[in-house]
Amino acid sequence: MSPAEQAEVTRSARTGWLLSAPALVVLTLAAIGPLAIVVAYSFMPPGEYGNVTWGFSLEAWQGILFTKDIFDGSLAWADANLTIFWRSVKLSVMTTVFAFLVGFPTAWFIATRPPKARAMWLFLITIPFWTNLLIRTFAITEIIRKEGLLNTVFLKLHIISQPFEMIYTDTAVFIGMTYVYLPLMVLPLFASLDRFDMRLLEAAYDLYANPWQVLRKVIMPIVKPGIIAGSILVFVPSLGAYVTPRLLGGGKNMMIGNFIELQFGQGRNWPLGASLSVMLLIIVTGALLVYVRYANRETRNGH
Amino acid sequence: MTDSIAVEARRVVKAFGQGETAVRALDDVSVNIRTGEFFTLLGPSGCGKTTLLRLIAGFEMPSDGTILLEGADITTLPPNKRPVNTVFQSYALFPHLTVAENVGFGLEMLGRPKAEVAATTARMLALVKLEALANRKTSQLSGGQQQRVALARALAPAPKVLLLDEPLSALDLKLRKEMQIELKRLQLETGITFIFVTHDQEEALTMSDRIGVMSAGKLQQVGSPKEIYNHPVNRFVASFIGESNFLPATREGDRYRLDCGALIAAPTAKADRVTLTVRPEQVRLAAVGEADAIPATITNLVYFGTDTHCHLSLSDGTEVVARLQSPATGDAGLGLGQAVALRFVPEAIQVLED
Repeated sequence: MSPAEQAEVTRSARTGWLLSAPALVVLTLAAIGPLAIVVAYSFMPPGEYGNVTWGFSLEAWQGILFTKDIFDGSLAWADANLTIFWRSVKLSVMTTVFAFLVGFPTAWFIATRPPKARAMWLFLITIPFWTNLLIRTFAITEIIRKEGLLNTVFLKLHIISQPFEMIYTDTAVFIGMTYVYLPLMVLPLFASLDRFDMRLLEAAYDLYANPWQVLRKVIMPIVKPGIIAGSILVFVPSLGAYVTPRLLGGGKNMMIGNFIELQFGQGRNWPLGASLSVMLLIIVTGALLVYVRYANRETRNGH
Repeated sequence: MTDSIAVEARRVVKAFGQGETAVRALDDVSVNIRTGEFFTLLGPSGCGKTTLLRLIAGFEMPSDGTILLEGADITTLPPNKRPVNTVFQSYALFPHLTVAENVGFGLEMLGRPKAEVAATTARMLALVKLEALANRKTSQLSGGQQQRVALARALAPAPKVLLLDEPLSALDLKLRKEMQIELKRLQLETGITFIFVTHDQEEALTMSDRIGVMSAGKLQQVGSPKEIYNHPVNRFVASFIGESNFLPATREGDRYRLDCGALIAAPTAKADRVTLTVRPEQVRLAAVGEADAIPATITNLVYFGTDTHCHLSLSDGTEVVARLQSPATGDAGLGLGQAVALRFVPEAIQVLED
């Protein structure tokens, strides 16, 4: 290679870096930077009125699982924290499963409409996105609260004699999250089902599969990418949900999102909030890795 | 081959749509398909042949009539309860399964033991010569290979009847010829009744034991390839299968007078006004003025290599095509506008009353 050519290569490499610089800057500032700050904060001691003080401390990480007795400094399991973690994971899994159970027939229904009607149905699915999440959640409150729509109608129809108390329970949070995240399940499922060759159904029926086997052995394996995408899109925001559990779960039935917010607000324990945030990130990543690996193994075996 | 009946359709009607706008895809079709035979449903697109096949498979229910499988009424049985398998036009192979898993699918659904599924799958793959590709995904196969997988998959559960819906139409000519022979071999080896749907008359003639010719939702004629070709019952069958000359004629005693004035001897029919039909290869040229020969003028000559199509015009303007074997010298000594005479091979003349 001549010196001129070498210079040319160097120049083009430099130009390449220069051209991608804006993207790199944005990535650093928007993603890596804040994450680094959060990780750093989780290893610092808390300030008196929030914020952090300079120094190194593992107390925030310890605080995820243990509480320190104020008097003798002994450690005990932080039952409240564990309950919140457990509730978050449980509600998120339930939301994901239920969103799938409702979303799959919905997506199937849309995918089997004539092409023109499909656009209309998809449009209807996206309409909730036009309204603010807060307002939609308040709307649910209005439906399920003690003096709300459901109770009034059921009482008037004499289906129930006492108003049921659903608001400020896990059930309310579960219903609310399922409602909010359902479109995120339906859309990727529809994308998969839309590409599904319906002639395979006849082939499967012809080869002695009953309707259940057609679903299990033909439809589900083929639309699996859509199921994985939909489940991730529902599970991840569910685990970090803030508005829905805050409004429908009341102050008591917190999820991780609310607990983190509490540390940065009234709790004045930013390091604990930071360590909880990182913990949430680890749980989500771990869950996704396990899920994707499990799903891929199934695909390879063809079952 | 026995004479027992594998599939029987009794007065089957299939209408799509409602009321006035309803379309009768099948209009009172009755047919018996014998055990172990290669039966072809032949007709132009939209004639109802695929609809009949789908009724036998169970994908659709007839609007009226009965379908019997070995004497048992299966009219309302769902496809997964019928011992009948289909080779689809699009093959419809399962993209998420390997070749072997595709072939074993039917047996697995029937709940057969794993060892039996594996053994039968291996046997079927050997039958269609695809042992080497057992663990491939079906998307990695060529059209002809996919076709073989579809065949093996449909044959693996040993169905009483195999339905084939234009399975060769997506293949190129050479592959299609190979698969025709292959299909015939498979049918003879397995002894399974094949019901084959096609619009290709040559395919039907070369492969079938019997052919059912369909048009406009009705079964026009059922018979062996030779019967269909040599004794078509109506104008549609005569023109759809092979080429034919049609000559309007009027009965005079026990003979027919063509519109050009010539008298022809032929088996007499009831109707006075008929159409005589003769295949082009059964038309002979004769010397002008020869007794009983019909005068004609050559209007066109088309050379096909093995033979020459000689288009002739009779005195009343009726067109007749004669297929003449090319002579060894390559030149038959015919020219456009030349006055000639023709005669028909007497036993090749068919009388159509229509």
